[in-house]
Amino acid sequence: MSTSNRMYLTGDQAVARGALEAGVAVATGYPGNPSTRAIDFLLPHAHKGSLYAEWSVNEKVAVEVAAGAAWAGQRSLVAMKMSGLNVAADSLLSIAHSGTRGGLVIYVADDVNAYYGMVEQDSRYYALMACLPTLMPADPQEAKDLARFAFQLSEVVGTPILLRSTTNIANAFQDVTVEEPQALIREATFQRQPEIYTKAISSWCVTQHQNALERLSQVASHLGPLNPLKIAPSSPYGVIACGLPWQYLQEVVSSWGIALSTLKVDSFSPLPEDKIAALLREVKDVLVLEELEPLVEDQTKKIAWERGLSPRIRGKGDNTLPRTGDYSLEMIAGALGKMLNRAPPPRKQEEVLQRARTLSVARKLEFCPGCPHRVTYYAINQAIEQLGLPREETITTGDIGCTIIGMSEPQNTCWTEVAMGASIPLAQGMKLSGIDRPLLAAIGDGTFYHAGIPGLLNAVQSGVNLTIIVMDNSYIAMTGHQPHPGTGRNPLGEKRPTADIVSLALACGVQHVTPVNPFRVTATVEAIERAIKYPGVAVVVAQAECAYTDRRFHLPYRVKEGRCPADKSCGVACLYQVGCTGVEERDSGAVILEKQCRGCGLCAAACPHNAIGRDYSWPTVKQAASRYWRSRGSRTIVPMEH
Amino acid sequence: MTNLVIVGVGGQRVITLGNLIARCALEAGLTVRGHAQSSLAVLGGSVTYHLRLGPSYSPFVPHGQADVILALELAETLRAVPYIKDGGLALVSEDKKAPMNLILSHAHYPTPEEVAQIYRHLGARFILLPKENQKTQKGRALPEAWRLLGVMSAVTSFWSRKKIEETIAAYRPREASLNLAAFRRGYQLAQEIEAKAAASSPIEKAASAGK
Repeated sequence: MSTSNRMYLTGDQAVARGALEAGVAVATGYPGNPSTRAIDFLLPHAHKGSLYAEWSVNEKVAVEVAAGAAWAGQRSLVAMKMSGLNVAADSLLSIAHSGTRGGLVIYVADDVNAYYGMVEQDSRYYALMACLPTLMPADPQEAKDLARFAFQLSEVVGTPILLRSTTNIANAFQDVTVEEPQALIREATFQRQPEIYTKAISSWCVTQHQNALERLSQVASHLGPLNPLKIAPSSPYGVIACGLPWQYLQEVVSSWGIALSTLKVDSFSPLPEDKIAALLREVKDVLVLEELEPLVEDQTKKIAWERGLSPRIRGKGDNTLPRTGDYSLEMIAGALGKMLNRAPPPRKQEEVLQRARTLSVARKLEFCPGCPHRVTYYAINQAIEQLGLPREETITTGDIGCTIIGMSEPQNTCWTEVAMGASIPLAQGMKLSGIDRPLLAAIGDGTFYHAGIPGLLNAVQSGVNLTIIVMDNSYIAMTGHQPHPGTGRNPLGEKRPTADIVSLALACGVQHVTPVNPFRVTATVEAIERAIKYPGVAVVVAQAECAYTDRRFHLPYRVKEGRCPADKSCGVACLYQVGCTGVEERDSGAVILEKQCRGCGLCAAACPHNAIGRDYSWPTVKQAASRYWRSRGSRTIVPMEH
Repeated sequence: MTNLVIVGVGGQRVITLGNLIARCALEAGLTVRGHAQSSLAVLGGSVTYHLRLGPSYSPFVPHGQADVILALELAETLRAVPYIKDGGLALVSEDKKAPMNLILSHAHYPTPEEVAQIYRHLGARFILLPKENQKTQKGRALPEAWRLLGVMSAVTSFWSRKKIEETIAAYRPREASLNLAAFRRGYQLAQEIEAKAAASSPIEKAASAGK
């Protein structure tokens, strides 16, 4: 949404907008919250000619595509979450040492506090490792401005730029002042310079490393008004802050009406060492505010030592602030109050707040009503039981994405989650270690394309006995239904060839591949049983579209009158074994909520009394039909509006 | 400076509602900051939307400074407790979306009275919207988010009713008639609640007793 030159944008949309204003020609990325909306924002613009945007097959590929375009002289953006940067790291370091011609900006969002799962990591370490200049915005406006500036900086100095944000900046909204997007018309050229673009000779590699360090020091002289330093001569206190904590600091300082010396660190690499020293000279006591690792804090201590300055430096080193989780306004106020000897405000009504906390409901991950994965996990559990294997001893390794919800109750199937595609090699390792019980690996379709295939090849070559369940719901669903090579369409809805998982598994050398429709529960259970019994690597591909996008006509289920016994001798299997919020337990027995039911039929399959069936009553059929016709208009997945 | 916190679960249009309110504020010439935290799950996870209308630095509402809390789900209302201002307003839908882990463990789901008590202890006005099964002529249920917005626009005076209706109509033209119907129903409901409050209904009596 926009009013004149203001747009209401999130932090990651703002990065994308900045790239548009800088004339980005190629944008790549892999979905992963909190960075997903950057590419989502650019996709509608990719219709209009001078921009190409894609969801790449994984982050390493995304970085390589973007670097290729940048080396040929175009401006390119690549966006990912912090875990993606680990996947891309090999290419990232190599590209950083080579440098770039066209502007290359790598946008990474660190999920501080791990709101979206995975390791809570500080990607700024990559800046140190790869000699990468790194900018850190504090709010969406800065995210837009810094993204735009990063492209210029990248071309002036000839280095890729890391733009690092965090969850709470990526998810923050602000009315951002924007300028017109521009289209740069550039002729793509690429000169053969093996001493820059290859790593074949050791002396070239060392020179590239030297050049990368040289470029890093050049960046320092191009930063202009970044890293603003404000000295308050009346105050012996100072604060160094970067990222969102800077905004918290401003909020606290303005509400308290105090004056402090402050340094806002916009560029983590290279760090504004002289400005830090200038601040340290003016104050007796300084607080460093940064989320996650104490990198700026440790550098500040180093600078103080090198220049013989000895103010007290507070932060994570003296346990004023934690090294894990995200900061909040209240934490910053507390830390600042401690330094200024300001008594904390009396916490009124603490017992009421405590009562609210005890009453509040924790929400674990659960499958949506109608999800095909729920049926597949139910079938896995059934197959294990029917083969007489103890459920609590049968290992199923899990993987990233919606499929990991199989670790939740009541499925309780998945045992592990490591990284994209790790389920298959982990299971192989456990098998090789001597576990002779059947071992399963559960992996989603997006994850399989991303990093599952090498693991599968490896497992086949090792000759272990392993059952792999690939759950194919046609999308990278968890992050908002981005397409993958099996979807058959690109993000703009244009037709593309489909990479079929069954053929891929066969091509990897798997001898036993069974495609199944998970909604046929009995057939799926049988297929999984056969796969478990098969000596060697067996793959079952459960193919059914995500319930969220599936717009096929479906009739809801209902409990047949008088068939559900009120004594509940079955333990209400339709609820407690299925785990669907569409089923409700009442005194009289189970009830299916028509509004929630997506017609997957798992409750009917689980019911031992055969008391659940499709609802063929005329009002229901009529309503289902009207729902079907209405939904036909909204078949395409539209990226989040802005 | 007006601070709002909207809470609910995935699929209830928390973010859509927040974006619409932000748009009303932007069109009124205010600066806006906000923050939307959704969950990993596509449906059913906690969603919180902070909105700060007017000059601010932090995207989050400071503790004890929210003028209005809009809750689309009853239990989620408790997540917003630290933010409510003394004398603030909590508009709470009676919708219950109990998570599967709660159902499976037979744990306690808070009652409206328990939630109301907490807000009244903190000196806030607590309005619980009764469940209604009103549907449009085509049999579609009225979206709760817009009903809540209708109530808010009647109880508070941030923008005129006409202004909000125009914004709703322009925001998602395809769903405009449905959303407007829900908004108007909410507006009407609020007027009924206020009229009852004037005649000292139990809701308002208890609210004033808590103050």
